[in-house]
Amino acid sequence: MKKVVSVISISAILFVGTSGLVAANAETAPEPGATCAMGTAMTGGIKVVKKKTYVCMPDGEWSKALRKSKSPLDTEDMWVKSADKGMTAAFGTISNPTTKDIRIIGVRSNLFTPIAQFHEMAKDAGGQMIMTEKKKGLVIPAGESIELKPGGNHIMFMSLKKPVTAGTLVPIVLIGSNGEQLKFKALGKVYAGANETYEPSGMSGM
Amino acid sequence: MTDKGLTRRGLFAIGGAAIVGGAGGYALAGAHAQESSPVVSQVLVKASDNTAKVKTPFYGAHQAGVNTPAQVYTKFIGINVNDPSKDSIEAIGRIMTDDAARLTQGEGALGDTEPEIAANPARLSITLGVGREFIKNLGISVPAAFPAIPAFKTDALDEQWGQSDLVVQIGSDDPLTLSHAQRMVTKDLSTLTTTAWVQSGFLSPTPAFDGGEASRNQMGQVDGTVNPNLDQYSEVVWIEEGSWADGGTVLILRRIRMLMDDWDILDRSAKEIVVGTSLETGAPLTGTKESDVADFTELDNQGLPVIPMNAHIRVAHAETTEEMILRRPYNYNVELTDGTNDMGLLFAAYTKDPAQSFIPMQERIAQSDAMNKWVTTIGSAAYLILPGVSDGEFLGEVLL
Repeated sequence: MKKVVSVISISAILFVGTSGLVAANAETAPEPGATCAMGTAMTGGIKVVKKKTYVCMPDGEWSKALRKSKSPLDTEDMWVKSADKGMTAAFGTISNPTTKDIRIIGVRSNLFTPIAQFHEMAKDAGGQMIMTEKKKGLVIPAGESIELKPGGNHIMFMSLKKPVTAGTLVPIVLIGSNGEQLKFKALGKVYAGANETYEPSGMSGM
Repeated sequence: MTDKGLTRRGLFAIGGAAIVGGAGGYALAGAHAQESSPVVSQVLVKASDNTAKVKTPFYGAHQAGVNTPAQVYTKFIGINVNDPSKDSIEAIGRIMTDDAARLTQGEGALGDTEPEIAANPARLSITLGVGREFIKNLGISVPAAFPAIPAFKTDALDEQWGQSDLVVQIGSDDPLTLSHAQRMVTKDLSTLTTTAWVQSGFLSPTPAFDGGEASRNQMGQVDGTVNPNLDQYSEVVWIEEGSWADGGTVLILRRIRMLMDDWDILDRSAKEIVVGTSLETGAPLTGTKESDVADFTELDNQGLPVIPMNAHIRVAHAETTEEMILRRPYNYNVELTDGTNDMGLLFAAYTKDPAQSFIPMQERIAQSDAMNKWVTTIGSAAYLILPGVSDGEFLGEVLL
């Protein structure tokens, strides 16, 4: 039985959707380390050039060229809160059965436009829930599991392109820092809660 | 699974009771046999410490809730699909399957806000059925086993309890567990469906008498009948016609009001003659024990049949295996605003071939059953209980 790591009591890992799929109009490979505009203009995301994947990473820089491989991570009980538009979130358990930490730097799904920043929500000194950027992505420690749940860690999708309806299976791909792609499907479910992450303070500048 | 089943029955032997005996389409039900059991009985169990954790297997060739020994509490939920389509059926099937697979095994559903309640399944089963018109409207071939069920001449049907697109049948020995499962399922389906009605039923968790297997209905009758035994389920219950419905069954759900005030006027012997069984023992009037087989040829000293020609158990009696049905009836009792109660039965019949079994039986009952004076069917609906699924499949996949 793998140990479930509870990361930060209330935190959100944000994969922020953007308004356009970069891969469609990008033919040149970005320079690794070059600034990508995710944080402000929401134009970043993922580029695939000559079979190499480039992810606009949480720290706002393009990743190195990533060769696609199969992720050794496992998922269990994945579900997505159903929503007509705007934002939603996915939950479940991600396990790392390997002996090395695995860092997730991006996410891809046809339901929203890609990706970029990882944020976490935590209380500031005054007790307010604030969002801070999680520059390193989501780390799944070796041999451990991370539970994503309402009120805790979750994968947040912004700018839905089409509704997430109850009972549909939403295909999602998480991309690791070495190009590992973890594909899974999450079941759409009606859920009234998990609203604390939808209008977090400090989101206006995103 | 087999091991668990055996364990479960071991528990029942200690704390359980069962319905058996009786007859008819109006009620007097029971059910001999369950999966892998050599004998008999819809065993009723109180959700005690011993039974709270008992799980009814979800996966299998048949859905649970049919050959599952009747739980103490049940809800039949009639629901209509907002946008009837194969997409809707797939979404509903995926949600129902995921919820049922978890909840019946004592786990919270995905996104369950009260997962602790799910920890005591108490033999929870969640079963999905589809109506005939709904199947037709999807452009799917209606199984030969699923003819339209006619209204019968004694029916006084209220559309409030009428046909819906789908039915979800939930049963548990723990009413809190049942309530939670009902809430979870209806919440999960809320964007896809609209609830037409909910019919709640209950049974006595204790036997009618020490050492007996039957429980009593609200008329005090030992309620049960010669249901199919284990060996007969494939002959009586499970559809096997080479169609998508194979492994399923047809549920006919009748809401039968008992006219209790009128019934009170009869003396005990008259009540026994109407049904053909002893109130005290549940035995046919030609026998002494509940388990005795009725002798419909026996005459009294005046040359009249001991069990009258219009007695309920004679009229409802199945002559052949093809005529048999599985009876899984529940009591209902609704408090009305004027302080009186609407009491009766949720008569749930399961059959692989209603045309040979349920329909002719109900026609005989409508024609001549003496009991008709004291019961009125006010609701009727029929559903194809979908075939069971294995892990990775979802209920209703056969419709796509």
